[in-house]
Amino acid sequence: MAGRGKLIAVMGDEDTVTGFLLGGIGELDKHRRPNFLVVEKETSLAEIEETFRGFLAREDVGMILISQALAEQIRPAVAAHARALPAVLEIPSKDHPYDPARDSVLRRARGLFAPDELR
Amino acid sequence: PRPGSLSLSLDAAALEVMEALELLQQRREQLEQHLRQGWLSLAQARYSLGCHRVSSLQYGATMVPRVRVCHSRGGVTVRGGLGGPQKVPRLRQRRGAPERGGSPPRPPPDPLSWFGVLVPPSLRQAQGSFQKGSPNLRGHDPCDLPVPPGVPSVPRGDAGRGGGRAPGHHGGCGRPVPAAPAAEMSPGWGQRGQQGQPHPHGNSWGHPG
Repeated sequence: MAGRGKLIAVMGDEDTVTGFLLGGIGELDKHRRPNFLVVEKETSLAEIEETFRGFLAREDVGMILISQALAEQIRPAVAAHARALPAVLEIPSKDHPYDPARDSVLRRARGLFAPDELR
Repeated sequence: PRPGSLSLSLDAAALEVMEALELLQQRREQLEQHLRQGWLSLAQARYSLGCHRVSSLQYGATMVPRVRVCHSRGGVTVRGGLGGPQKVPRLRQRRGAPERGGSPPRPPPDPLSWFGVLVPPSLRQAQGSFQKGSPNLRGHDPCDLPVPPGVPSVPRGDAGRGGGRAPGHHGGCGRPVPAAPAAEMSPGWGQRGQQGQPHPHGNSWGHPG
């Protein structure tokens, strides 16, 4: 599969995931785990975190789109990811607008210039 | 080593970070617009088709990605591609071995087909919005993937349609319809950007695509 590019994973509410799947990023194959997760009220924190870590660990995932509301729930796991790849992009959801102050990537960037802020 | 060269390097790196952050901000705003439009269109599609006709229940049993992301030293590109040479499959009249080299891989089916044969324009629009959101870049790219002529081009400038529903219109399924965005569509954010470059001094920082 070399040279074909890596997958874009997505974690969010049903509308967000449905939308991105319509856009063509989805992979679903009985031999492999899916590269998306629809998170509903009943979805456990453990499942969210485990899915996120799973995407991080996959060699074939190049980017993870995650609703910021979800990222907030598993913030320590998101903040701990410091590698360049896979790229983690926090996105808004219908109910939760994007807040740059909470974004782990931006916090790390601010931390380059103001180390006190980097926790 | 020249005195001051380290400072110069640091300054250059800092500027690079600043530029990357600014670019990221712009891309993010564009993405958000596409997302809002997409959610709106999905709500409209749900109104047309019925709540349970536009949900995860409709997802295909298998999916083949049509969009992937490629990283290179020059940056990150997200490219769409159907994963193989696009030849029109010929009808083979004779039995026997497949043609030399294997038959050309079939292009992945359009996810729109999960929702039926005739889909409302709103659903197609939703797809368009999310395609622009997950950038679909044509042209040169670091991935060794040919751009088949059959790759559907994402129509631009279709901002007017689909945004006509009055805000507050209830989808009828208990899901509120997001307020119609006022902005026009902006081009997809698929351009090669500054992202993806590790800090020259070796600290990698999680960067968005």
